[in-house]
This record gives sequence, C-alpha cells and structure tokens, in this order.
Amino acid sequence: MMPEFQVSCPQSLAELGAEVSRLEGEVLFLSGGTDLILELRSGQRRADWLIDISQVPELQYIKVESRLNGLLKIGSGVTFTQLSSNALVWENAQCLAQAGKQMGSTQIRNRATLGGNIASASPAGDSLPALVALEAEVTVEGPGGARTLAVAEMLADTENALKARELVTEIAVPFAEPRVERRSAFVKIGSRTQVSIARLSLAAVVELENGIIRKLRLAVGALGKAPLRLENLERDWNGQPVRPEMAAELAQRLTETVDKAIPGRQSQAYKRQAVQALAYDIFAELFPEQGLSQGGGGNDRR
Amino acid sequence: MTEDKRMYGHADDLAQPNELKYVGHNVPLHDAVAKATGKIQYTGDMEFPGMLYVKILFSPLAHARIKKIDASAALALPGVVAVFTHANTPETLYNSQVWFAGQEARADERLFCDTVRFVGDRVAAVVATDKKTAAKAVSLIKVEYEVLPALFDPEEALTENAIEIHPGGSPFFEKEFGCGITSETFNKAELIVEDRVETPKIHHAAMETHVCIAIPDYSGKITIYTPCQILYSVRLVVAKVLRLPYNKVRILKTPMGGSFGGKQEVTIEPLAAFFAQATGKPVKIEYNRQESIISTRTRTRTIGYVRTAVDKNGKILAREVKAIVDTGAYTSNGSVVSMAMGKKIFRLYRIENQVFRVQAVHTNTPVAGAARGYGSPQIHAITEINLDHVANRLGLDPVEFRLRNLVHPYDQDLSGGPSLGNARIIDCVEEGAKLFRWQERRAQANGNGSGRFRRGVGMACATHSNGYFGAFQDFTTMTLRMLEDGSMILNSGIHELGCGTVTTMKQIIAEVIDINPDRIEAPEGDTETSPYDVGSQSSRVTHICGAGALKTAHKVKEIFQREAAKILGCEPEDVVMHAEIVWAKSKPEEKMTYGEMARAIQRKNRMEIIATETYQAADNPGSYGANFVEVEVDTLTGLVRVIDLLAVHDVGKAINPGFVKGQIYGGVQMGIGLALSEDLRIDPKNGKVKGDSFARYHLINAPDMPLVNVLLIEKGGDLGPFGAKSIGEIATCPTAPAVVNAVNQALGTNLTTLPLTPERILAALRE
Repeated sequence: MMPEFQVSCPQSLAELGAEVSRLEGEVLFLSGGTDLILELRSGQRRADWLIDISQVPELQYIKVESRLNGLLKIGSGVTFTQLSSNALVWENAQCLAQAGKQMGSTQIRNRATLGGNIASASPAGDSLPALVALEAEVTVEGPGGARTLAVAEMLADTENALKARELVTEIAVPFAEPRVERRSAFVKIGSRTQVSIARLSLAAVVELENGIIRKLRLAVGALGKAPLRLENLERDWNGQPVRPEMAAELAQRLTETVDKAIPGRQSQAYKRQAVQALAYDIFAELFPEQGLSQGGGGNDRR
Repeated sequence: MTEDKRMYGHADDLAQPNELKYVGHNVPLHDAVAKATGKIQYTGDMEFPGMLYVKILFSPLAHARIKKIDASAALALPGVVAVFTHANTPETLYNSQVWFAGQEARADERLFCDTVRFVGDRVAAVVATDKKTAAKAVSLIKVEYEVLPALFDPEEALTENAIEIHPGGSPFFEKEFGCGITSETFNKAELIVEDRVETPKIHHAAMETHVCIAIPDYSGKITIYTPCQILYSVRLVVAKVLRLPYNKVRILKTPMGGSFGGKQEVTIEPLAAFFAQATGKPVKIEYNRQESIISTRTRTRTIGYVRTAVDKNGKILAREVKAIVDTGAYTSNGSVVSMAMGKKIFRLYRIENQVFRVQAVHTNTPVAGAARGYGSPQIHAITEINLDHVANRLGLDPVEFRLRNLVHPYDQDLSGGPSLGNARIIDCVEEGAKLFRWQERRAQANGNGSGRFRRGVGMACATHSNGYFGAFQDFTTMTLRMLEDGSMILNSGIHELGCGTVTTMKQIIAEVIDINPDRIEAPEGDTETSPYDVGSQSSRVTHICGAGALKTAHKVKEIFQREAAKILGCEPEDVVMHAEIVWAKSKPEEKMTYGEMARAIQRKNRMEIIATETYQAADNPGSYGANFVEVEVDTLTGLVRVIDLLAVHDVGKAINPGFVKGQIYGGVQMGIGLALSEDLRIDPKNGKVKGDSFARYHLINAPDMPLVNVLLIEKGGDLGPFGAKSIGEIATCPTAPAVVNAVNQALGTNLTTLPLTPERILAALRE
C-alpha cells in the first residue's frame, strides 16, 4: 500500500534548489523510483514530500570535458539505458557501460538512474564496482552547498554518506594520461542470466603502455557494504607484462578476498569458488588477444 | 522459434477419419482480444457500490498460541467497519480441497484459529471502507503470543518425540499398495540402485494473485465472484462455514488470471463470504504477491526413497518407492496427493513387483495443495532421476533402458487402476530420440569432461491422468440449445483457466453441428444456473467435458434433424446440415439457414432445439510425455542453462494444436524452474519464507528459456472427444527430471535434491 506524501516536480536546477529549502518535513528525491517506490510501499521508508528530479534537464547529460587529461561527465539523472547505449561511455568507461547493460531488466534500465544507484548504495549495486575501479568522483549538492568526493569514499565511510536533502548531481570519470591505453570491463554472477541481482561482481580498469601494466584497479561488488579494491594485487602487477597465467592468479586472489571478507558466512563456500569465474571472464574481456575465453553462454555465443 | 511437427497415426487409428473442419485447427482463444486490449474485467477490476476491503493480519511466528488480541486502536480508526479474529468468527472446521458433498477429508482449518501454525497463518482481518484504512488498521492490532516449539523438517515430523501440530501428530496419513512380491525379487536382482530425491515447496506464480468478491442480498443469499477452478468446491466450503443451504450460496467463475492449481482449493472465499454476511456489504479480498506466496497453497514438498532392482539385461524386476509428503501446517489435499503420486508409478513401466509407501506429515510451513501435476512432477522427479542412475550403473543408454521397460498400448495397470488405454509412450521416446538426434548428441556431450562449460543431454518420461474414473465419480452435465437465429448457447459448469476450455468446447460442438465456433456462446459456470461439473482438475476437462460437449452436440443434431425432417418432409437421416445451411437430400434447391429452420420448428412443431445430456466417464487412459534436453553447466559458477528442449506428447488428438503447444511451453518453463531455481526456501531457524517475492524467488524468465520444440503423437484410441487426451498437467511432468538427468550427465554427478542451485552443483563438484 502506498503511503501518503506530496510530490514536487521542479523543472530546473534552480527550482529544485528552491524546493529543497522551502519544503518541510521528510523530503526524499525521486528519480527512477525503482528502489524508492518499493521501500515506500513496504513501509521501510516514509516521506512527507517527494521531489521528482526526473524532469530537471540539467541532470541529463553525458559529455566529455577536456580539463586535465579529459573527464567523462554524467548527469545523475541519466538512465541505465542511456548509460549503456552511449558511445562516449563505451569509449571512455566501458566497464560502466557493461555494468549498465547488465543491471535489472529493460524496463528497470529505462527508469533507474546512475545517481539513484549511487544514492541507494546497495552492496549489490551494479554501477558501484565500475565507478570505484574508474576512480570516479561524485558531486553532491545540498543545503550546505556542494561537495565533490570519490565514489569509493562516499560508499566506504558513513561520515561521507549522503545526508538529508543531499542530492547526487554529477559523476565524473577521469581519463588516463595521453598515449596510455586504458581498458576496462565489468562482469557479474547473478542467479540467472538476466533480471538478477548480483551475487558477485567485478570491475577492472587497466592502463597499458607497450603491453606493460602501469596502472590496475580491481573492485569486487556484493562482498560487503562497499566494493572492495584488490590493492595488493594492483601493486603486485604494476610494471608487469600481461601474461595468460594472470587469470588463474587473479582467481586465487579473489578466493582469498572472499575468505577474508565473509569468513563463516553461509554464502562463503559458494562465493569463494564462484568468484573464480569472474577472474577468467574479466581476463577474457580485458585481453581478448590472449585467447583465454572459456566458451559458454549457451547458444548465444555458439 | 519452434518446430511444428505432428505425428499422425494411420487414418483408422483416429476416432474421426474424415477431414475435420474445426477440430485440430488453431481457433483463437475466445477472449484473447479482450485480454490483449485490456477490456476484460478481472475480479480485481470489479467494483460494487458500497464495497468493503479487507486486509489480513498474518502470523509472524511459525507456531504460537494467541493469548490476546487488542483491536481497539484499529476499531477506533475512521473507516474501519469490523475486525474479525478467532473470537468472533465461526469455529467450523473445514478442509479446503473437498470437491463433492460427502467427501471424507480431515477438516482442520478455520477462518481464524486461536493457534497459529505457520508464518503466514491468518490471525485477524480488518474490513474497512477502503484499502488504505484497512492496511493502516491492521498495523494497529496488537497480538500477544505464547510461542510454541515449531517443526519444519518433514522427516523430523516422523521421529518419536516430534511435536504435534494437530492432535495425533504425524504421519496423519499412511498407505501402502502395490503388485507382486518385491522382497523376494530384490534378493534375485543383478543390481539394486537406491536414491533419495527431494523436491521443494514451490509457488504457482500466476500473474493474478488471489482475489474474490462476496455480495450478500436481502434474502440471505451470498454471491461470490471468484477466479476458481472448482465452483462446486467453493460452494461446499462456503455453505458449511456460513451454515447456508447450497441454493443460498451462488458462485460465479470470473476470468482467470492464472491458477496452475493455486486457485483450485478454497482459500479466501469463505472469509469474504463470512465478512459479507456479517457486514451486509459487498466485500473484496485481494492478496498481494507476498500474501499469495506465503498464505495460500504451495506445491507439496516431497522426499522420496527409491530402490530399483534390475537384471543384467536392464529389465526392471522390482521397485520400492517410499514418499514423505509434507503438506505444511494444515491437511489440505495431503492424503489425496499422496495417493495420486503413488498411482503414477504403476502406469509408466512394466514392473511386475512394485510397492508404494507413503506417509503424509504436518510441518509449521505454508500449506501445500493442488499444483499443476498434483504430485506427478514430484513422483516423476523421484523415479526418473533414479532410473537414469540405474541406467548409468548398468552402462545402458537411458533411452534404450527405458524402451526395454516402458508400457505398451492397452497394458493394464498392475496395481488395479483403469486400463492405460492407447498408451503411446514408446512412440514418444522412439520418435523423440530420432528427432532430437539423441544418440549423437548424448555421445558428443559425454566426451566434454574437463572444460569449464560442460554440456549434458538427458531425458525423462512421465504419465498423467485423464479425469477421476477409477478413483472418484466423474461426470458432467451440459445443456445445449440452438436459438431462433441459428446461434447456440452451451450451458455448463466449465471453468476457463486460460488454457482454452471455452474455445475447445466450441470447436467440438462446431464440428458436430457444422457451425462457425464464433456462433456459439459457452459461458463459464455459475452454480445457480449451470448443471453440475466436477471442476477444472485432474486433467479431466478436455477428455471428460469435451466428451460431454460431443455427446450433447450429437443429441442436439439428432433433435434438429428429427424436427427439420418434419418441416422438410423427409426422413431425419436425409436432413443435410452443412455450414449453417440445412436441406433435404432429395431437394437440394430448397435451402434454409439454421436460424430459419429453428424458427420454423418453433412455429410449426412447437419445439425448442435443446438437449441436456450427462456424460459419465468410462475410461481414464494415460497421457504420456517425454522430454529431451541439452544443458550447459558452468562448473565455476554452478549456473545451468537449458539450451534446447524437445517435448514429445501422446495427446490422442490435439483439438487445438496451438493451445496444446501453449500448455507445453508453459509446462516446460515451470518444469525447468522446479529443476533449477524455484524454492520457497523456508528458513530452518524461524520458518519464514525467504523466497517471498519475485526478487527472491526466481522463475525461469524469457532470457533463460531454451528453444522448445514440440512433437505431438496423435493416435486417438480412447473415449475422449475425437480421441483427445489431457495435456495441461502432463506438460510439466517430464521436464524437471530430464533437466536433472542432463546436468548429471554433464558433470558425472548424481544430484538428487531439487532445485539444482549453483550452491548444490558446486558442492557436488567439490566431492
């Protein structure tokens, strides 16, 4: 049963700001609503006001800025359908596009937004490992002004979490330095092929110079409150050429990561083993030239 | 994406050798346009003036005595009309699955009990002027419980000091039956293979959740609108609880938004009826998904122990099957489904020495009940997984092993059940194996042992019933008349479950009368105006009701010809009826429409073209099916994809091949779910259903559905209309074991606990 609340529909960022200061009581932002509506219906959350931000044009963009080495900037109101069908995203943040494509169903992707996925901060949120691996930053605006911080910081630390009436407005993904080849990928395991919440996910961003790894970032999703970085492995592989044996090494490290993250948990036995699939899958995605694809996928990939 | 292959027998095998005009054709579902355009009125769409709405308070505890219910805050809320609990509702005990008056069944349900027996049991109900108020009021009811020890494991229910959920404890039903002598035969066997197979509690997952409306009138009569499967079952239970004569309880079948057995039993109707009686207002009860999952009915969890003895040639010498049937917190159909399971095992293979033992138990878990196949998917999972295990141990190909043992047409049921009729399972297996390229694909899959992704090929067989003949009374009565414009009305107690019953009846009548099916109305049942029917259950409708429609149509044709002969001045047998035109054979130039003739018969003969006929079931042949499946297993994640599936079914005759295939596609989807993912997952700590939403209860969705090819074997030979046999339930019976057998081939495992979740698969690979 949907509880009672009022809805405000600002048409611009300026109107939105005015509404945030004007409205009284519990105020929540509504974007795609794919999480929020369920929480309101079930009584997990309540609100006096919902501010529908889906009609604010200033939150709807995907663009590249040339500042620094270049930045991919994404408005928080961009839907997962837009995210996963945008050439700029595929070109500059493939793992984010892949995460977007594997999230939910077509209907959910048409509604759900990147900003909402970050704000919900579900441990299984599909975009989160990708954003963490990309070292993306997020801009948050609220009554106390704007602040910009790394997605990883926001998710890891309750102090940095969204506060009341704070809204995610922009996500920025920094580019690699010039002449560095950057590749990225996202893979996940659900309980079925599609329309499935991630039981495990993995995003990787690797920067290569002449076949040598000069920067690597790996983030595992659905193992804890926030995505887990594999910092030791990232350091160990720095400066190394890509070798086919690395897939098995990654698999081993991932199993260790699971053991460390969820010792004694009922899901540990399954996850410590299944996570190895992500290693091989992501390796095949990142380095197709290594010819390590293990097949599978039924008839789709036959 | 599907192949349309149908096997026809020789013309003389078919009940009707001549070319058929409507039967065997894909006439569209009568309400397809209304459904597709949103114009159909489901029960949830229906509103009546002054209608009240209900919200039920469900137990959060698995087993507890209710010490006190304080509803004062709920009652004080404006808009709340009444709050009902065990204290102000009838104490009448009833059983939710009785379908005929005088049927013996353990009655242990009440509208509200003073003891709750599962998480989801009914504690209280608020009746209010709107849904929101009802929901708010429910949250204001305070209940004090005395927690009782609870029991979730059916095998624990059989231990000596198990708690008693109902007086007498478990098992509340036990039975043993069989044929031959098993114990001696086992001693002589070359090989004995034993397995323990377990199937889970499953939600039916109809799109429409449970819903009904009850309306009282000035005379004390209660009218109920419900998308049910058995009108007369609803009438029995409601009349009992409300203490009304049967003619003061009127049940109307509304458009069905899906059932699969989930709406076969009487769950919310007596509540709505009592609330309507008590308040004097129309009352609607509509469950949400979670409520339908936890508080209505589930597929019966079943644990089976099988021992199969074979000789070295692969001949099955003897078999023992022991089943433990977990009916949940209330008896429901616990004993009936137990018997239904047992009967199937004597009707698929020629096994001269076989015994079935069953024990049905109560647990503090959601109540089991009818579910597509009525125990058949469970018992076939138990026996068919074991048979593959036997074949492997013998080193025999599973198809070859089965062909050596399958029943032949017109075999007898060795346990004493009705004849198997024209049982064409051997055709199903032989033709299916050929079309599927079984030998080649099985051999190919066998050699892929070491990679991450492994292919497996498996198959399984199954049988199911065609009505109740041999077990319970089975008959139907129908009235068919021709109106003055030549259109027709069939008045009967049929229930359209979305499978095409209404259209099927029309096709059968159309074939006899030679009239366009669109010119026939065949409304669904209404207990006040329709003749009696046993209901849409036991895979009886096409075979029995269809035969009833055929018989009634022949009677109407006979009357029409007799009366027309008087008008045309010829003998009745010389009256030609063709495409809604009638004439005398000798005077083909004098043609009349059916309508003109009906009017002439009224005017001159003072007669109506009307017949009421009762068809009594006189056979119960087996419907048979075999599924052939290829799967791919990811040995790292434990995820299984069903890649390709061939379903071969012995249906006697497909009255509407499109409907038959529709049943098979859906049956396969449910069967794969049973094999791989569907499970209510009762928390062993507190009895809560973990899979209580579609986010946590995974059906096989479109991206994971394989290609489904269908091959129909149509060789008639039994008493159904045009030789037709059932498909709705058998369609889902062979699928789960076929998928499991394919996975076991792929991995070299002997997985026997369903569903084969990724966890279970990885655990088996670790061993």
